[in-house]
Amino acid sequence: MEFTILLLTMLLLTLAGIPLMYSILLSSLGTILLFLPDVPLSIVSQQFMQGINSSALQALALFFLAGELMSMGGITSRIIRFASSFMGSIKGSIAYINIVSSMLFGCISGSAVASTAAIGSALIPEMTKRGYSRPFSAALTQVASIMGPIIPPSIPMIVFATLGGSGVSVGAMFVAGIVPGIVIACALTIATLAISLKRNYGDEYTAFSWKALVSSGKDAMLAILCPLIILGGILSGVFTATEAGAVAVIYAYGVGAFIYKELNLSALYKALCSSLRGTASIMLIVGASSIFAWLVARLRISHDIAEWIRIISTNPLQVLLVINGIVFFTGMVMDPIAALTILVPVFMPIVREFGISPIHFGVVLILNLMIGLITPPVGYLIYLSADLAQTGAPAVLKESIPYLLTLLAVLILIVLIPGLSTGLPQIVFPGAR
Amino acid sequence: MYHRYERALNTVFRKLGSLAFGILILITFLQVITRYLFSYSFPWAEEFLGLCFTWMILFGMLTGRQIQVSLIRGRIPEQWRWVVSECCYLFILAALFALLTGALVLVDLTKQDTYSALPLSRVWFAIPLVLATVLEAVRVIMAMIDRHASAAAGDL
Repeated sequence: MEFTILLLTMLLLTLAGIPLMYSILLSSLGTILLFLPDVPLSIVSQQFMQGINSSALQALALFFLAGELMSMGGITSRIIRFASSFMGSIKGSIAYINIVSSMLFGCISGSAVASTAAIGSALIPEMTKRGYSRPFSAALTQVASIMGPIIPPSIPMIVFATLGGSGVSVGAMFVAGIVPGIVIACALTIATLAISLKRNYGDEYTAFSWKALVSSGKDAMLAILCPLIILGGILSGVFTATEAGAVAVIYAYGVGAFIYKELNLSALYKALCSSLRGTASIMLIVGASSIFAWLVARLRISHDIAEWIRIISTNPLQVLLVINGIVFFTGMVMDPIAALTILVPVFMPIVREFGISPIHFGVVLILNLMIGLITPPVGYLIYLSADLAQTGAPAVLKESIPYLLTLLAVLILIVLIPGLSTGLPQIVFPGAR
Repeated sequence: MYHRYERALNTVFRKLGSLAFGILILITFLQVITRYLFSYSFPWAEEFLGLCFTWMILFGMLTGRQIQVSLIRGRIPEQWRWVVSECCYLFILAALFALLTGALVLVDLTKQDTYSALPLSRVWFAIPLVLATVLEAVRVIMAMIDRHASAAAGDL
């Protein structure tokens, strides 16, 4: 009852156009007034401040800025040139270059929106010039960009690890995303190949040249090294995830300003402002959601949901599938970070109770929410990519359907084979499960 | 009037927020350097970085749009949309009021406390919330008073 009121109020206020931070705050306030009249309302501000004062979440701001500096520093064009140099000789190469570029860009930025904007503005015009339809080009770009938040470094994974409590570290989550990211890239490549063969896409291709590969590889190497430094530093214990973010920022600025010579102080200020806005908008939701999380614990909502799930099944796999269904529909109507901050406190105790690996759950949860970015009614990326391709959103959605089915197949695969997400973290962090 | 206020707010807090962000980056990076080169860590760093981050977020609150999903309002006929917008403004004001009263309680609770390693009162942790909620509330009220309130509502 309490949970239904809390959720319905939040949904109604959100859909009415109230910013998410306020709709979460207001629905939590209403629930406190109705069901916990003895609790002083100052708890709202206390929880809010506690939510935003997280040292682990400082990493979020730093990775945001590092990604911003990398894309402003001319990395996108270098990544595309590098991908073209070893894939350009394949028939219909531009579509595969799009997938590989999105994957490499994901290694730097960790944001699907940034990836769609950066890769899309460079490759969609090129794809349409080479005979691919505008909706198809937009569809492929938006679908490929969801690898960004799966492949490390990933902003949603930092948020998940922070909210997930003990046993879930940012490092383990970063490592957990590597194999699923590669699986997604392979699946999208196969789907693209099938579509291209059916429609006879991709007549133009360029001859392979070792010289071009070495030259573009050298040019892009410094940027591609960045994720290796981040992951290597975290995994070897040289620095924490937050410190890795600061190192990435300094590295990105150093490479962009002194080696690529495409960044200056005014670009740095612009990137700082843009990351400030991006981080603040996410962190305000995280702050508001900590009141929600407090309510979930206080009203024993997770316990009630666990009881309800136990009626359906006690098998961990079936439980994960049920949760998966709930998360999938939430992702369709909610912003991923907001959904994360609401879903993690509700489902994490259940996941632990049923013996499901929190890391596995994290990867499944984030992949679900990323698929939500490319499905209506919210689907930010549909509108962004349609805008970049100067075409209509419904046409992009129609072209995305084969890819959506591919991603759903990958999702099911990842749910059914936990080792895909937990295998690598267990090797790197023997205590992880 | 509303737009001038919003522009001024954006300019001032964008600069202050960026400054806090810059300090956060530098100190976090310096920590890594001093720890490995000189085997020394700043004892006050964690508390100070937490303070910088909080200030940065709350200043960031005053610099731009917040995440929203306006599915219903966009479909309401133009002549009725202002009613929904006004209601949204009132709801936002109620949330800000609740945050502000809680922030004042926090100020009261922390004014005697100091950080353990940082020679600073803990009240500095709560003050930006008071500042941000008051300035944001003024923005919402000005938007309501403004002739173009219904159009500006989408920007909140």
